[in-house]
Amino acid sequence: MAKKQFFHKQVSSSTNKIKTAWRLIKDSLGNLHYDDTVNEIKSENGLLENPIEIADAFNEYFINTITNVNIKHSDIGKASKLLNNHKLGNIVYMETIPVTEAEVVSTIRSLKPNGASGYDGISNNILKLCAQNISSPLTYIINYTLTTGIFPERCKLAIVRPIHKKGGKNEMNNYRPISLLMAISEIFERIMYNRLFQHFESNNYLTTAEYGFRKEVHIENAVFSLLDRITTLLDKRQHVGGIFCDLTKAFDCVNHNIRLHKLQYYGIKGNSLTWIKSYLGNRKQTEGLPITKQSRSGNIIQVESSSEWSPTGINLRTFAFHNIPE
Amino acid sequence: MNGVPQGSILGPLLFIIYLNDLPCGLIQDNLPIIYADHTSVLLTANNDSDLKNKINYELNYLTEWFSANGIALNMEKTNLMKFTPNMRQNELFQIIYQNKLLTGTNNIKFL
Repeated sequence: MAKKQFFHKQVSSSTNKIKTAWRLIKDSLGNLHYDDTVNEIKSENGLLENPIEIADAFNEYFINTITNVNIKHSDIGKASKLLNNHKLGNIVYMETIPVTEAEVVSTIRSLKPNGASGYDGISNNILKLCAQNISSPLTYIINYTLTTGIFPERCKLAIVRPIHKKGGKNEMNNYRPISLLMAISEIFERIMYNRLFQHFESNNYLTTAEYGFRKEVHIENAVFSLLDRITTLLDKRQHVGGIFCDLTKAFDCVNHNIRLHKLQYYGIKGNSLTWIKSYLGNRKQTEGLPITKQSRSGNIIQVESSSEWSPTGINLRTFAFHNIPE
Repeated sequence: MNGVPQGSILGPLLFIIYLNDLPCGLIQDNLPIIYADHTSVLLTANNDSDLKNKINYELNYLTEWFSANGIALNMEKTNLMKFTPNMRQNELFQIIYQNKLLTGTNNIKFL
């Protein structure tokens, strides 16, 4: 009885109820501790046991999977013609609003408290603790990147961890890659995110058809809209049909030039546009196996610029990379 | 430099901006519902043949939009469905699109 009360209290007082519930279930079942060490892995060169070799093999494997995604043919002329269907009226250009110390502090405070860190080893928790002390230099640096339109190269380095999905633990294709970026990089991104989102939101540029991203709109709203429309129309004796598209690796297929064209169309120009270009270009990754921390510093492999790092099957929920088990 | 960076904050927003103009070319009465990359369109018409025409039109538009933007629409896994008030009336719903016979499904997992 006491135990039941304890669990109830834990769940109801937590911010992420589902996560807490699962954690409690796992804890009480015992023996289910996530073992993420990789002791051996099959590769083209036979069975690898050396942690550094394993890390290198994974890195190569993940990069190749992305390079092998067929870069679909696209047509920027046609895409741009279709884009013109979105009538904007007067185009409002996005202004580069300088960041203030207060905004930097509140951005740091809004980071999720967790211990996972990128290759610099600085976690969100550490940043939160020293928010006041670092806000002044950080404000200067962020404003500098905003006015020069350059996103720091170092912030683009991602540690990629293989997370075991299913099947045999020595097969590389049974792993899913998870990217860990520097916590500092998240602050830069959030500052730009706020500006970009604000621009789209205040000018009503975002389509109401999108349920994944708008403020105070959730997945439940999408389901409700669908069902509500179906029942309303059926009541009016209308014929109702639906097309449910299946897109293959849509996140990987975003064409860079078309994307830049669209950003310009929506009024992003000058330094903000070059900042985003710089943010997207020249990304690097290093393999970070939990057992081979030393390999982080050594084996930095550059992802070719044409193969922007972005694994398959990601959706908005998996973007929360903090939730990977430590 | 194609794709969006995984684990990032800006990635999802940039992706949504990419898809943002997709609904603008659809027929006005139809309701597009997008959640991240899940794209669905709900269509309405006064009669069955009109509905089929509209589905054909929208499929054409969607195919054109995705191919211009370099995104692969997997027709094998793209589903059509006709909603009827009475479950027993589970008529076979078929349309011909680009000389191919497409059959509607009776159940679908939405999102």
